[in-house]
Amino acid sequence: MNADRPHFDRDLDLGDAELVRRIAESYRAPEPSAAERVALRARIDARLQRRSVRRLWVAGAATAGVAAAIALLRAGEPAVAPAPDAAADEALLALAAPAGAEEEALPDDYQAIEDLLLEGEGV
Amino acid sequence: MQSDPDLERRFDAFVNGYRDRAVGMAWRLLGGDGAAAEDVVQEAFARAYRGLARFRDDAKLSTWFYRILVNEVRRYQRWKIVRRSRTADREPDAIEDPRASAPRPDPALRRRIGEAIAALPRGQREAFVLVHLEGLTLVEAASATGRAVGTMKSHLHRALASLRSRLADLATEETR
Repeated sequence: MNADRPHFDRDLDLGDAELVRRIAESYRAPEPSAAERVALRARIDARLQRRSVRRLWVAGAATAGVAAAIALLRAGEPAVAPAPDAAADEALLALAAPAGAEEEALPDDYQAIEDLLLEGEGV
Repeated sequence: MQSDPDLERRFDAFVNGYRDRAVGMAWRLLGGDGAAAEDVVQEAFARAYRGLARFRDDAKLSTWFYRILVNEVRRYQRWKIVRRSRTADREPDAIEDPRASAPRPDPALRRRIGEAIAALPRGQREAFVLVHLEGLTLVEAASATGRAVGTMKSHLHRALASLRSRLADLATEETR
């Protein structure tokens, strides 16, 4: 028995071959008309269309669900102030203030007091 | 549906090439239920549509599609069993095809054969229909059903023995 051979029934004895032939002849689907073929194709296309719409809807719903979940998670988080970090503060100040401008950065009152003190020392 | 013109062309040719064969095969596997066969074939083509874009080996296209079709037939049969168990609706297998407006050669004989085939266990029924009635090779039928070639041979042997005993008169009528 060759498994790749299409006409398997050649291996049958006469009685079985006849039985198979009669069954194959009598037990078969009716030949579809041209209209039935067209209708079948239209139903396949309609099924594909429905599937495509459903896929889009599912993808949209999934995206919206993920976005809503992220928004809910973020809304539930407590507003935590960043921990103070002296080195980082100094670095930021150094960047913000021009070099040698510390005096100008002093408030007016403190500037006046400083002037009096300096004058008293004869500077 | 996607608007890939190449895929659309391939799918069109694919449906035209396999439609009648697929309906015939499903019809036989489903005991002659025409409405069920058409439903199964529609679903098989719809499932094949997406895979077709990735499938480039035309030589294996038929085996691939028959596997989808056989799986759809099995899915339908499982669904039918569940539906029957829930509704206790023991409807007989629809041997008469609602589309069959053309005269049939012998409806009684067809019904008898349909009942004999439907009474076979699933593995035997699939093996007999695919190899003896649809002309697939053992290798193709084994691939379509996901079974070993040896198992297919065993199923064929048993199916034939069972049908021989139920339909003995058909085997001897014209060989006497």
